[in-house]
Amino acid sequence: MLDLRPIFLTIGMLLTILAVSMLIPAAVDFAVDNPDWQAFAEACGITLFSGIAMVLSCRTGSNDLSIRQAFGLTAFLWVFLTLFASLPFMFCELGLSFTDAYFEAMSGITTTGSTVLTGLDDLPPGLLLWRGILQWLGGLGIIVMALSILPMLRLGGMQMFRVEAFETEGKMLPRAAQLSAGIVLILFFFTGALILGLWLAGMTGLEAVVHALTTIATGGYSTSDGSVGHFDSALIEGIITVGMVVGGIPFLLFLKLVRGDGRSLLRDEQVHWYLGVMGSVMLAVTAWLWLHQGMTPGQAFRYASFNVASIMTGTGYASTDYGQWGSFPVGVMFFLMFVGGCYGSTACGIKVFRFQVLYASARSQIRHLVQPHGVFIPTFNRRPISDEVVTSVLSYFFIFGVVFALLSLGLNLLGLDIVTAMSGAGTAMANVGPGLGPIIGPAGNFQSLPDAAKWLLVFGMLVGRLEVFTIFVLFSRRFWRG
Amino acid sequence: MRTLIVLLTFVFLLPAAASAAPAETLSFDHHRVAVIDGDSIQAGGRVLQLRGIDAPELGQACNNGGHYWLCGLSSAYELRRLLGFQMAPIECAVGPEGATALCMANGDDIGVTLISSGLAVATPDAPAHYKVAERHAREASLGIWGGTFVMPADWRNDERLPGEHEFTASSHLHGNLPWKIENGELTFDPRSQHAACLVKGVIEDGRRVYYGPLDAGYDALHLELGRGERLFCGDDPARTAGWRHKGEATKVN
Repeated sequence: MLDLRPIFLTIGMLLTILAVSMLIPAAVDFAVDNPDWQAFAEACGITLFSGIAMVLSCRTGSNDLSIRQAFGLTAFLWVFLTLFASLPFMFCELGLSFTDAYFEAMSGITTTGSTVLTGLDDLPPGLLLWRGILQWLGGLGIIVMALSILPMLRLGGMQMFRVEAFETEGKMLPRAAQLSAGIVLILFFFTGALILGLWLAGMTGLEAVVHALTTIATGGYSTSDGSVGHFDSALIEGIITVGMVVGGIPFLLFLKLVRGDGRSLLRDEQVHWYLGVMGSVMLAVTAWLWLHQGMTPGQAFRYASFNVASIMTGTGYASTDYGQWGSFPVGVMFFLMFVGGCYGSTACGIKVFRFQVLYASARSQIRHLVQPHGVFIPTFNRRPISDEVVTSVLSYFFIFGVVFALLSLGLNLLGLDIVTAMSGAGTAMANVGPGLGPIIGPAGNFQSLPDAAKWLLVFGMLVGRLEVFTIFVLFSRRFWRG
Repeated sequence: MRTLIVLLTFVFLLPAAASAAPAETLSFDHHRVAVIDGDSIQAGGRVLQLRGIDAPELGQACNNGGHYWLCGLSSAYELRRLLGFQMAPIECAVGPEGATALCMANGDDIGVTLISSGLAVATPDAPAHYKVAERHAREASLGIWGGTFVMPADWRNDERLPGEHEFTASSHLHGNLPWKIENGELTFDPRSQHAACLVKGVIEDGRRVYYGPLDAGYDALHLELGRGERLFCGDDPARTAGWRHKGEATKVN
């Protein structure tokens, strides 16, 4: 039987961090005399008590996690953190239902960015800040997990990213702690730079802080119903575009850069593909907007670059309703949302490296067809890709596709039209934020969806963020028996 | 005989032509459009009611599985969000009476969009495709169709869901009290007891002006009942009483 104590010990420790972070919006609301500070204080108390109780009752002598425990931790962590993160949304004056509160919290922690809230421009500062904090913590969490735990779980090719210094399978938690410090400092640096840049560009302090938190986390929660388009500023959009692109780059490379190894960042093939795909799509959409929508080249590049970067990294900001750009950009945006950013970044989606693996494998196959006796080994970052990795990636694509299809059909069965259903399933699994169409498109909102649809999307967000396999492993009897 | 036929044709066709053709077509950049509630906008100094739709009133609450939510405000916020994302001007074909309009955003009927999202209902005289959109929203349980609500027309006649008044009274909508203490006594308009009456009517420079929750400066407004300032439970009663939106005021008699 699986020993759950190390899992809930870790969850308890992270809940205490979550509880402490609730004090920030509580302090802000208290300072402006908004009664929501009480909601945050209550939620903090409940979360802190629960976290400490878990830590005290689940203490074990071991600092290690087995592979099965790592799977369990990965899944339960996000479910439990979201549960407690939803408390402020329920306790505040807005008084969201449990469904809406959990949806909003899950969308925050998974850095999806879909929202059920309207009237953001008039919301109290504490709630806006809490949404930003959730996405920032979620972005931090996914980076740390990607570097310390997920490679050991061999999820969809992630075994390729085992860090050389950590070849042993054990000691996942100490490794996570070790990496967290460096990653947090880098995140703080980028967040601080964004805050300063956005504030100088004309945002208020709160707007700058929230947008900085959600930009580097590639989350997309804004302080306005109009998203970044509300500010109508090319400078703000430019700063945020840079921030989103940075958020999609592996943070381990920034860690290496800080330690004096800049070559890794410059030579990384995943980064080359990431920037190459993004740049190419930006140019293509720019050309479309210039030639077909009557924009000037400057305007076209402004809107194309921002929205393409937003969708590809999974941030989900909108500066305009790109659904009105015509059929080609809409199709491009739909497929781009599945591509995602780089592994080891805050970005979401299928991840660039998986497409690279498939491309390298297919290229090798084609060469082999032409020269049957030749030896062609697919490579990634100048290292051979094993058959195990290729199989893992192919399996990932298959499971992703099946879940996407089932989720789309489920939403369709609930009465949603096929555009809303498919784009909703896709945006949830790719953790992007906006879908397509008038209901959940950039100019829409998820509030009007029925509760059953929201729970399906919550499941989609969780499955997508945790690389699909993590959730389905839990449904295996062997997993629990050992 | 031929002259008579021509005259009769002219007499019968002219009214039909007059009612079919809009009185005028207006074009607004979204920056110049203010949203009053889920089915009313102000642009170019005029208040226009979106034709064929009826959105929940600003203070109206709907119930979804036992949980109340402010569907009226949500409708208004969604309309504002929808308009805010438009790059092209919003085109409004104003009816002959000058008060209602069919507004299009990038070729899409805004009214149909709101109905399709479950944020408004079709009026009895709405075109057939509005009612089809409403049926689809109802079948998909979108927006207000996800639970129970009072039809906006009935809500304006003071019909409420059980428990709705208690919910809105406790929800501290926009915080500040709508009345003042004068001469040591708390005085208020009897209708303002209803916490769901969110439209504030104030006297500005001798003009009777009403503000909705989405208007800038709304939260800072404190009503002085002794001066005749008051709350209204929607923009329609305010306009019926002779008050005008802040962009198109009239003088106090």
